Amino acid sequence: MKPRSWKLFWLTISLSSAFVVVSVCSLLIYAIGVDRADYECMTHAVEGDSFHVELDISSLSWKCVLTDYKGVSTEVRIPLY
Amino acid sequence: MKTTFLAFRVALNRVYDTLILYITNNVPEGGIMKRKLLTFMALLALVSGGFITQASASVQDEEFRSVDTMTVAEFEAQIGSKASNLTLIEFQVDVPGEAAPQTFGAFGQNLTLDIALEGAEISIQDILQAASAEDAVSKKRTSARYGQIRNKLLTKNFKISSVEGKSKSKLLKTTKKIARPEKIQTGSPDSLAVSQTVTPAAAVACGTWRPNFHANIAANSTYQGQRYDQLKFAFTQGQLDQFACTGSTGFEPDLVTDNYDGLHYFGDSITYYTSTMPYSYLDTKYGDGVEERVYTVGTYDVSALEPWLEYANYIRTGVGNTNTDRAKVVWQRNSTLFFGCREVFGAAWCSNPDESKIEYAWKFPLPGTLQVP
Repeated sequence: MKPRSWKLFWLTISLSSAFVVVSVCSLLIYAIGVDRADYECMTHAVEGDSFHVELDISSLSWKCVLTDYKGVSTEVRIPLY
Repeated sequence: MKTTFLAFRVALNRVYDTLILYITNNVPEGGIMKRKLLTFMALLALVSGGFITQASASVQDEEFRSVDTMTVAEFEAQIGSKASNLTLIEFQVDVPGEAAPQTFGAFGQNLTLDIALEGAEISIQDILQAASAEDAVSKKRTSARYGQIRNKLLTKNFKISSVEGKSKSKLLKTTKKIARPEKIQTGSPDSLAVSQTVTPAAAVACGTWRPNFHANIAANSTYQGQRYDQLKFAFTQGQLDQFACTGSTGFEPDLVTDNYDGLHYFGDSITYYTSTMPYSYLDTKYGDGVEERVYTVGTYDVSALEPWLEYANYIRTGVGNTNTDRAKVVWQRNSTLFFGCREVFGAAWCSNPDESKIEYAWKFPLPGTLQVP
């Protein structure tokens, strides 16, 4: 069974491969960065604080959100890497 | 041929685990080399993930039921030979000063009789420490005393009440629940809710998910030139319900020590760890900095935790560069990064932090005990 167009065939293979590679790399970069960002965020927190980090794509940085026991939140920016 | 192939895959996994442990424990923190090495290992696991398997799938779960009293030698003969394929052993021991036999257990990868005994030893230390708080003079807690108890255990008869073995295979894992007689009633869910966690939307809607801290104990180990820490906590039914509400699946209680002054009570490497939490794993130190040292044993399946049951994490390290230090606890709920990640990379590399909460900031004395009545 031959493809109707070899060009289209190779284009599909290339795009699919690129998609898989980009997805896996993105996940790896995220996984590597989130641990470091979470650690950095922790160093800003004090007794009774809750905290979490969010990836902010628009500013290409991590957003560390700290919330004290009263429910008041503050944000700290952490570089992407 | 198939068996050889499987054995080869398991051997590869062991080499991989050894390398990861070596890099984590021996390459200095904060350096770019460590990050590069760990990233390379992650990529290696990704490439070979479908090839490396964590354990032989042919290993079956084992289950033993016995009410006979037996000597250590008999225990070893019946279970010891199979223990290397198990991740849990529970048994009863007559403890000096206790009327009824106490049930103890041990969790861990590569479980051996020695580790099971160690689980008992740790639990007995707790009993003695609780007793010594009431009568510090008559029951001194010393390393020598712990050693004596360990020696007693090694020569004493055990009453095997219920021993459950679980295959190390992550591929064919099945769970068998066992009754735990040492359930602790600590109060109603409402009376134990001290503070509320309120950051992300899920948490606001869901309420308090963190457990109740019970105690942190740090001291010199009976193992020469080593130190240990034991962190104890328990969830109420309400807290487990709130945890489920958040949608998080994993839980990591971080023991964090103060290293802003460069002085640390615990050594660089963790020489041994265990936890009574099911599905436990030792978290990587990847991403951690040097100012605050993080020691974590987590679980990737919170739904397996039971309410009112006191859980304990135990780590043992080398000796640090100071004799006094301080620490805090950071409760973290997390999720798996992506479907199938744990099977390829292992639980430690796949936890995505959802939210954390700090308690008892720098109030844990090292060494010493902080206990909530």
